[in-house]
Amino acid sequence: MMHDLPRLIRYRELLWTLALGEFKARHRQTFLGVAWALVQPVSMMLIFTVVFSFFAKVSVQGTSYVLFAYTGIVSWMFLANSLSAGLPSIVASMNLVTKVGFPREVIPLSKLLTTGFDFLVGMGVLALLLLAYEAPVSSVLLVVPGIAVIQLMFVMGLVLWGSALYVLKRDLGTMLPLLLQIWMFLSPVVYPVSLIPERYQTLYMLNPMALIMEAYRSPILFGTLPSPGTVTSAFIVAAVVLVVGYAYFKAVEMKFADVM
Amino acid sequence: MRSSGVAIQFEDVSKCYVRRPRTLKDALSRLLCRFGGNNGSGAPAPPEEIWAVRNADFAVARGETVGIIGNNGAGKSTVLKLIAGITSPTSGRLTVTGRVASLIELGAGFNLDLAGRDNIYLNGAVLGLSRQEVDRHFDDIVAFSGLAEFLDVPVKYYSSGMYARLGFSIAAHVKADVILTDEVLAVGDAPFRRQCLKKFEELKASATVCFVSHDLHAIKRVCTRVLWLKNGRIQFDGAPEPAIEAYLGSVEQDRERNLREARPLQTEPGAGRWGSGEIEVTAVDILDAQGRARSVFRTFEDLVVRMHYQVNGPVHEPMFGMNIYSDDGVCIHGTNTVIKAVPVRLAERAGTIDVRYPRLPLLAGTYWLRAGVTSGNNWNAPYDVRDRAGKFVVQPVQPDEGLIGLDHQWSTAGPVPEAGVLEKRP
Repeated sequence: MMHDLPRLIRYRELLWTLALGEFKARHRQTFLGVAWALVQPVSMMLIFTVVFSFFAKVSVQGTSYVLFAYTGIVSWMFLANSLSAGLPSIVASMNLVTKVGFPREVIPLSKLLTTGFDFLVGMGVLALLLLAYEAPVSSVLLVVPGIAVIQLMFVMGLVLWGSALYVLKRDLGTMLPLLLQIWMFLSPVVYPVSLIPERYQTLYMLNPMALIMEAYRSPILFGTLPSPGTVTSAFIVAAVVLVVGYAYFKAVEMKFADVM
Repeated sequence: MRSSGVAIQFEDVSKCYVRRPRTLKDALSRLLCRFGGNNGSGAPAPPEEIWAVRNADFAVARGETVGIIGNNGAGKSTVLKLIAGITSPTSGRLTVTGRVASLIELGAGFNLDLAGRDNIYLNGAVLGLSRQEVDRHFDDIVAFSGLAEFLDVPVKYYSSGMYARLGFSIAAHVKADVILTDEVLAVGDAPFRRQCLKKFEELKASATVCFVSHDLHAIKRVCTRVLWLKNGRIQFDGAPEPAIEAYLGSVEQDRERNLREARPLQTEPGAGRWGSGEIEVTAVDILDAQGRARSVFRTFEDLVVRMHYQVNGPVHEPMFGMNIYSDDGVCIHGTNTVIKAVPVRLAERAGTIDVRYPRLPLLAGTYWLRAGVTSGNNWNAPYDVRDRAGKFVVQPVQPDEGLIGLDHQWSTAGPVPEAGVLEKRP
């Protein structure tokens, strides 16, 4: 993997250009264009607020449900959108993969630039919401970018692994929406971890997204540092997923053109 | 760049494509067969192996222009894909030094929704150029493509010619050490093709080139060395002339064999046939000077068309005729027994009649025969007319363009008169 990185770096231009191209195409072809980055999480947040806050009266440890849900949704959307866009990306670029030689990881990674942009927009809106709700703003918030990096590593690893696997097993495309749905309801996106019965919580926290969301929420909603245990386990999981995902990708990369 | 040394090295390289059962259904049936006693009928097919390249062992020195020829499926494209790093060898070792530009398909990776301008950057990046490098060559690329006024139009509105032009223009400006091309010089209209060839001559001066083409005179013209592949194996590696000769010889043998095995191949499905049928053209043979049935010829070989006929009823003033058509339907030559005032003496029941073309001057291409017989010179109510009654191919050995190899000489007649001299003459 060590000699793959310099090669990838040489092709960073392609990474940018692919992402920029997609961004431009999206901007040009949809009526709302880049505003979708905003509309999607905000509307989901509104729906979940109505359902869980007004109808189901879920208690979220004394903070506003709007902030609570929005934090979870922005972070969840980054994962879900990255997987939805990243997994089929190699297959969708078939004409490129079978005709030109370049490090193939550029294709799924370029998708992360687009979804990463949406994530940043979502985070920007979160900052505005925090101001509007007069949430505690302190230097603790400086850990948020760090947690975002951990999530990025995790997502990157999954997308690399999944996009390669997708080429070999196309079932993944049909399974993905279902998997994401299940995963979302098993993650504390719209409800707090405290809702889970005590004896299942250890099991529940094996889900890396649960760790990552807990790590986001402590500084953003409560102005406290996330527990070192949570952050460390999240980091270890993310690093392992990234290394294994990339290694798997590189191991099967050369099969892509043969299989398509 | 060094002018010596090895650019591409194949050491006993083989590439095998395996078609494995990949679905649950296949896997289950394999499992059932394994445990449920193999009674032969439900035996799963073993994984299908296709050896696209076998034991390729050669080195290409820097600056060489190597042509790769062979039939479809011989492994030419796989060799290019191996060099480009699109696929990896199943066994053996392959080393390529320097930047590789694959012109395997022009405009691979264009984003159809983006304008030409954006796609220049995108495609440049695909081929490994940095933004600065594209910036530096941008004007040249645009000028070469001749698409300046369409730069801001999304590529999806381009014609296929424009698409290919833009693709070639970008690829041609990649400063690559190794250039791989697969039939890409045959794009666009004639002027653009000339422009491409000129650019290609320029490129090959500074790079190692692997050139896959079915156009044998293009190969002869640009290559310094030719590899002939057959069924994944290198059959010949050497100078262009003998390589092409060897290849053509083998193609002719194969086609003749197919012709023999596939008889009767007299009518194509859907080919027209009409007439009242008192006399029929039952078959048309295409023969060479020695009277052997052949379907592959070279320019200036003798060719004989033999029509077999059968008499079914009363026939009045029978007249035979035949036409040669090019593949796109242009009538190249038509003749009949009336034009040539040949007396037709019919056999009692069945017989043959020959048309001999000595030194047939047709150039490379596929040609079709129409054969017929009628009464008098009245083709409105013929006895029998058969479209596509026969087919032959002329191999691309003559470099001239067009359909007919016309006899001609070039000469330069001393110094050109100065401007104005002509007008001064009385």
